[in-house]
Amino acid sequence: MLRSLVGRHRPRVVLVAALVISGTLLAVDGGAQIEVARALGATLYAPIQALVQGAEEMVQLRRENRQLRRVVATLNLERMRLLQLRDERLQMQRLAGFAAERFPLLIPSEVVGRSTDPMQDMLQLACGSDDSVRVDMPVAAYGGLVGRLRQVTRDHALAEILTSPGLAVSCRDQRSGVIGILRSTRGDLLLDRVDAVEDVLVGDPLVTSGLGGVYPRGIPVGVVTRVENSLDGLFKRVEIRPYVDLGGLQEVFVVRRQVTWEDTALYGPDDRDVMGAATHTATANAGGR
Amino acid sequence: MTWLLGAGIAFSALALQATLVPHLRIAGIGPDLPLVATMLLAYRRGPTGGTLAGFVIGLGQDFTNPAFLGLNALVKSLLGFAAGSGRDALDVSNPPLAAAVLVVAKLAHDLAYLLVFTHLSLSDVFAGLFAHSVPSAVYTSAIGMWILVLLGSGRRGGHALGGPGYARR
Repeated sequence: MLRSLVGRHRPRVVLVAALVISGTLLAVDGGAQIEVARALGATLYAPIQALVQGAEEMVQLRRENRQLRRVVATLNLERMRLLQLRDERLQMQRLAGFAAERFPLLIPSEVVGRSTDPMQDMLQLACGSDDSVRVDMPVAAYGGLVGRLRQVTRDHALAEILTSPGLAVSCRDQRSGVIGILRSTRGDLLLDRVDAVEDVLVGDPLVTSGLGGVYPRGIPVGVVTRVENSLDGLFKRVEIRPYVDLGGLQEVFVVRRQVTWEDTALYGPDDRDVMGAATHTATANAGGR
Repeated sequence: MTWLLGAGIAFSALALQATLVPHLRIAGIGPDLPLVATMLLAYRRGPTGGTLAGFVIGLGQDFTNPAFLGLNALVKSLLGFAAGSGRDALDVSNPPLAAAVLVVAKLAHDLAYLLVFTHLSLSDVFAGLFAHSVPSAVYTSAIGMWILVLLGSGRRGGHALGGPGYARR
């Protein structure tokens, strides 16, 4: 009886059931119910949204990759031009009897820790002797010099940074060629041993001088922020601001050894592939235009 | 298999609404694909199938806005029932008629939705209707009428989507 009644009025029965359920859901104001609905919604839509997000990221990455290839191709062309200039310069240096110019080889390393000892400002690096890293190798970042390695184990290394009181780096004023020793004194970075008569001005860039044999010549160090004569009038007090934000380092490069510009080990096989593809892309783009 | 296809249409409409429609918006107005799917299934399967389709699709939409859990399910169940009941009177193989059906359906849907949503505040209801529902109805019908024309009128021919549903009614 009931079955035949429901069968006869099936659409209306279904409608009433749907309305009752919807109305109940709408009327109940429960936090737990909302949480369940949210979880179900996330389960239902999360895979779709992940798929779409993945596709969007793919498009973005492809666009970025094209841009980067263009940039690399431009840099590669620029490098080739510089290499020509270098060859000319080397030829002149050879004629004049100068020493051959060297280029640093960089090993990237993640910064995994920092010393809490106020007397020694150290970074812990995730590289060690297994990566051909040795004590006294210089450490640099994108902006410039960071310091040098003090201790090396098989898979970790401790780097003493510029603000550490024990570190001294021979530096050269890039504008005037004046040489001094960079030290950290009571929290300030100072260029030591600069005579009062030397030509050092605020804003002068400072690079490593290469004297002493630890740091290669020409690594950017910092900029002169203040110059004043010392109390005895014999020396200048030159304050330096390092290029690298030493407090926020996440990745650094250990300068392993010096190679000549002609050394092909500067670029790995993968790098050469990327540069080849980039040059090809740039040539094709130029042809297309 | 018929129910599976119906579920596929419902799920596709919800998925496209969540992913594709945000990219199709013009001045913040987009088409209402779940409504088109409800109408399509109501036309294919009659009032029972239309009500169920409206309920499931509406509930799927409600999951994304749990603060009003059940509101879309309620409104779309009514819409599915109405469209399924009146499908013989309106032949949606005619594109202008299909467009008109979708416009009316969207406006009726939004009217019912807004009445509950605004707690019967008529000024808010009319503001919402004119600012959002009317342009969205036009957009929805522009896209949905072709879906309705192509897929909504094949029920009599024993199509996989609709034959049994129509027969059951």
